[in-house]
Amino acid sequence: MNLYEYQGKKLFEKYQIPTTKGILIDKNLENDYISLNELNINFPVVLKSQVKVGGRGKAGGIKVANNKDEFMKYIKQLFNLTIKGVKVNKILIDEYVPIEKEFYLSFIIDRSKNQVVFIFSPLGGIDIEEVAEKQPDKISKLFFDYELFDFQIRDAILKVYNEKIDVVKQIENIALKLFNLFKENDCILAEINPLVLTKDGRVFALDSKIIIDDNSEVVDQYEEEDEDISVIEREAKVRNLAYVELDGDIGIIGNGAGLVMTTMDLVGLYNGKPANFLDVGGGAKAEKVKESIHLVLKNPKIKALFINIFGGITRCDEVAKGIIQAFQEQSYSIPVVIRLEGTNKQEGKAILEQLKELNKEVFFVENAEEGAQKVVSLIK
Amino acid sequence: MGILVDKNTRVIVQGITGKEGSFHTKQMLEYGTNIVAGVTPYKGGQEFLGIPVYNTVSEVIREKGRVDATVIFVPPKLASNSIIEAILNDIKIIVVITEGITQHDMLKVHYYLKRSNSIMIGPNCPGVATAGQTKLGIIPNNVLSPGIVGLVSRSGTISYEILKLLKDHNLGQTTAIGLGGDPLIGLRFKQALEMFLNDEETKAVVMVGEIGGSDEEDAALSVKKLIENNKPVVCFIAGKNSPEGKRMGHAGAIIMGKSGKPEYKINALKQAGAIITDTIQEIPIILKKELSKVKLEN
Repeated sequence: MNLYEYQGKKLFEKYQIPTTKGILIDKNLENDYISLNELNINFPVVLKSQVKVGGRGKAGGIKVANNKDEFMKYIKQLFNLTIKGVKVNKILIDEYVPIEKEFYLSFIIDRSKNQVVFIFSPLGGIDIEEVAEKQPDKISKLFFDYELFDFQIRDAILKVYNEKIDVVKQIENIALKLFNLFKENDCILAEINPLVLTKDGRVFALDSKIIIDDNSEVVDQYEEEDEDISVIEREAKVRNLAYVELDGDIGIIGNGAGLVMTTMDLVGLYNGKPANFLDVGGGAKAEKVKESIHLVLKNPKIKALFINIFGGITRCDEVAKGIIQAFQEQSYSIPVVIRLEGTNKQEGKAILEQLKELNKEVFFVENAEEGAQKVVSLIK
Repeated sequence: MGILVDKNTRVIVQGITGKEGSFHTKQMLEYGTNIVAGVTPYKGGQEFLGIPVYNTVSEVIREKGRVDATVIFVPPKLASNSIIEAILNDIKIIVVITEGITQHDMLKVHYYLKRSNSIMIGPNCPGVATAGQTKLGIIPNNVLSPGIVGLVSRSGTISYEILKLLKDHNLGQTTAIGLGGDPLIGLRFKQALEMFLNDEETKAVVMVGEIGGSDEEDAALSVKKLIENNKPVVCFIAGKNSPEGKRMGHAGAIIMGKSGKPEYKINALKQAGAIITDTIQEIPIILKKELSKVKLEN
């Protein structure tokens, strides 16, 4: 899970990483909004939209306000802004810092090496991938298994920056603290970009980017504050269903992540647009299948549903029971395409005969490709 | 022959008394896997389906002698310790079925793994089976059939479906390997393909990749070697229609920035000479065609 900048900065404070002191305002808390006029602010300030998608600066999500009029104008602007489909609901009012120099600093888990990589560059404030392409000699990378020592960090910094030794010392200190944060919070990525040197010689974090491993319990405490996910996605999390909302109109349910992705690919191949990804998992019982159908069909954009099951450990009869239960509980009127293959296929098919009484538009297909063709044809 | 495991492989099950562990131990025994013991802490002395249970892996080795492989069903929070236990006991093949282990736990595992002779398959994988001989993991027994195709896959259900198609078309498998859906895994495409290259019975290979990471690209050279040695390679990549930055079920199936995109994988494999297919149904047909070409050339 990606954290918001303000959440990352809260973690920085906890780990004593010097960072800006900001005030968070929330669109949905009107009191906050009204009291803004009474806030005692030393201008200029930076107004930063709190969204998890990248490229908010380019999208106009960051503004500098020099006085109260500009401040009120920009707040209204930002709260009306949508960045890559995500509405801005929170703004961080941040200190404006006179900058001498910008650095880049991060810890990332490198999946191809099964290691952690510490990355430092004296060219901060820009996309690090761009630096890597254009000036690879300005990037210092240190790969390690899971333990890290101060001298390793010092050396990695000195390889690309040795102008002010006092600054090196401050950066080393911050890097060690960031590594503790990275370890103790099950981070996949902990990035400070930019890490700035102020005109008066202090080094601190101007931005934060933290990604926490979804397998870690640490994510639980951030779930409630996550406004970048849809209502259905939130419910899926509560019900422990692997669901991703997409912007098409064909509902997709299958067993196994690869199979569901493949089903989406096939629908795409015939120019259909999947409305979601939903994996019922291995060995799913009727109850879970039923819940999944109800969840997927909460999306009002859906015009047809494609259920694609290959029974290995999952039994087709169990899946069929779940489908029947879902349609008994609610009389959905959309067409349904079903493909059942593998373990207990015949039993499953026999159970599904009842579905024809519950839903007139139900189609059985023999393979996934045929199913994709069928479901796409139904919405045209 | 097949690779990694065969009928003589002496197997233990770590987490044998749990819900998943016990169900799949039964399935493995039905398939003929030579399971010599199980391990569950503080359940030592019990028996499960006639298999003796011990408290530690070392205890098994002291009492029962050599152990070649382990299948781990231990819950995610405890799993990394169980893997390290297997590594420190020099078990050659370690199959980790558990889903949900954190990446930081896996970093620790990899520290020990690198300093050992063990081969880890998984985590979050269906395991490995050499058809007609032995099965370590959760691949359904009814889709396996002895034959000539090697299968290596990052996706469970897709590989079961392909295995069944290979069975229905009388091609069958030598060994089927599920690499796992996590980002930090042990055995990867590259090594698995090299093993199929050296296995005489494997005449062709099916490779199933998905979005996320760069393991498919990293295996391009091995794909090329297989083809040069008259072993056709058919590839299927899942996730062509998946959005960026979203985790698609598997923890490892995520496109981040420029990394993990399906087109990179497809291009690299195509250039190496593999045949890329958009539909699973076609795989046996393509294989038969390619295999007959190889025959003609010889």
